[in-house]
Amino acid sequence: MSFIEVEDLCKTYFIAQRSVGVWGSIKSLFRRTYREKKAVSDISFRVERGEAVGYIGPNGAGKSTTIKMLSGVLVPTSGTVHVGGVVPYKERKENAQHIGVVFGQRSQLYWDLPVSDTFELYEKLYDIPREVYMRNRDYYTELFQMEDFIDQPVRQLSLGQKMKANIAIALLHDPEVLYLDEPTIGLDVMSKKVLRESIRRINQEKGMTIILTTHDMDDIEAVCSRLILIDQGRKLFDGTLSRFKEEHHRDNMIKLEFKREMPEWKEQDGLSLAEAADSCWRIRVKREAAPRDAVITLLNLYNPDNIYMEEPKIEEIVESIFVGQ
Amino acid sequence: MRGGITMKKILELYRVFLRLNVQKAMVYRGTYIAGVVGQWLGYGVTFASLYIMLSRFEVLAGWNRYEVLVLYGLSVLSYALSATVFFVPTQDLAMKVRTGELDQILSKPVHPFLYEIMQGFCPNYLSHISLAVAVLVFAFAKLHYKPDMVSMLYLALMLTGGLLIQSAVFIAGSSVGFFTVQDNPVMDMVYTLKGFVNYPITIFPRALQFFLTFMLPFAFINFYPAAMLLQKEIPAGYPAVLPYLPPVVGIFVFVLSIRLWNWGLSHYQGTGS
Ligand SMILES: Nc1ncnc2c1ncn2[C@@H]1O[C@H](COP(=O)(O)OP(=O)(O)OP(=O)(O)O)[C@@H](O)[C@H]1O
Ligand SMILES: [Mg+2]
Repeated sequence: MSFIEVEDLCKTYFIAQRSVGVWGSIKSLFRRTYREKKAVSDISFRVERGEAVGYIGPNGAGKSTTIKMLSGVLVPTSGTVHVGGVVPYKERKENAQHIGVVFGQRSQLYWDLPVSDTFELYEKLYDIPREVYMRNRDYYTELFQMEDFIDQPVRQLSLGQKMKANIAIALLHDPEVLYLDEPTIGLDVMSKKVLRESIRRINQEKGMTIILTTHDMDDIEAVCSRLILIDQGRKLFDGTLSRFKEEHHRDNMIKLEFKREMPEWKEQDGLSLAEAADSCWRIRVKREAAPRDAVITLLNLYNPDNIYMEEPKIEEIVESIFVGQ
Repeated sequence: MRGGITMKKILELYRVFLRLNVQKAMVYRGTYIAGVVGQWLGYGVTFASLYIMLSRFEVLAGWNRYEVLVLYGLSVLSYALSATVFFVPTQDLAMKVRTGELDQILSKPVHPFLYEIMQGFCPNYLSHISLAVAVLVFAFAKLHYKPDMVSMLYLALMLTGGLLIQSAVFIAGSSVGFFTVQDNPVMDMVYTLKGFVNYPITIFPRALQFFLTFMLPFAFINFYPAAMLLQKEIPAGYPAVLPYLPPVVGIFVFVLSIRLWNWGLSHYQGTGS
């Protein structure tokens, strides 16, 4: 049995239609009309211990809804979820003891108190043995570089500092799995980098299972080895990052740079000039052509000063999937 | 396996939350003190105007003005004691449903209601409590009423009943937050009806007396206990046992309100984003 097993999972939201006036809202206490919204449809996947899975998809795809069902916050409409042998929504509290959840859009810190106070609260809330608490507090304070601000009132902290603190708090009780719902939302490039690096280390050093949703594909490339792509509640792809790139492989790009006058472009089989700028060319290599041969041909023909291979970025692949639809 | 929440753990957790809440209040010490004083003044004026208004009538359905003050004092005291624990947790529920904070609370290893109670302790009602006690002492003194041990015990029991009824109103009212984020006029109506028991219910029409006793039993908060203590008439034809029932009624409606809350929770489906 896998650590996380999700089978034919569905979630339909019932959205109450707005009632008008005093009488309307009295009536609506007894009878209401609903509109249905299928947020997650027949999703199945398995996750083994220690995996880091990127769970991605466009806005409204059903990512947060899935995370909430995994963490026991919401009850599935149909289908089954098992996390470590526990059905999260049935044994919500038991499940909560073993998971860490961070909703990037909101904070679980006390606005007027320092982070260290919230740490102590969580020690009690999760009934963490003293030595485990001390060890984790020190470990995560160091990992997230929180020494400088841990005793400052939360209201004085930057978004990035708060996010670090929120993630650290979710980890104090040594959860077996960490769910991160858009942990890098709103952060600048540097903060994102530090955060990704920390999350990657938690996965590798502690062997913690991680499920991460994000709209920034760099997060995925830095942290995850596996990707699940969903759209409109349905699963489109599930596999390793490299398989994703292969399957949705598009043409390779090669960049030539010239520090002298540009040569003249001659048409070649399998190669085409995608972009010609002042001192460089971006050349598209048809996917059938071997990149190695293309490089040799280009070197021989044009003798550029520099030559670069451009890896296809998943950002672009994902974009092309949804643009192509 | 660590699960299984014990009473000891709950109390310890409550203590930590309590400390945090008091610390939080102390961050804005000035605001807190100003708030308490402001409440004192506000409620003081209400008491005073009630007192002055009552002095126009010698008696109200057999109750003199000090006796009516006892009614009001009991109602405010039970309200404030209950609000210290339940006001914030119940007031914020609709907001927490809307902002998705409840999602977060549901990912913690405690029952969300318990979590809310622990988080929501509100030290601000000290003003109401002290004022209500002062008014009760004043009224009893004016009435030359010397409570003995038995009547003190009776009063404490009745106050507990009243507190439970007040709490049930908070809890039941907040369950509505699971279903609608709109302000609900039904709750406004309930609060207006609760206001009636600041006066002896015997001055109202029979239908209202019935309603406040058997439908929304607010008269058990203060009227029946005060009628017992001050030896007043209860509505004609009503069982003489009623003045002993506030704790029973309290437990009954309290349990009912918790059930309602849990039922609401089972319909919770989160917020988007
Ligand atoms: N509480 C709710 N009530 C009604 N509809 C909801 C609720 N929560 C989510 N939805 C709807 O369900 C769908 C999936 O929402 P979900 O929040 O899971 O998407 P998401 O993939 O997390 O999107 P995003 O990237 O924007 O965070 C959306 O169409 C959303 O409008
Ligand atoms: Mg989301």
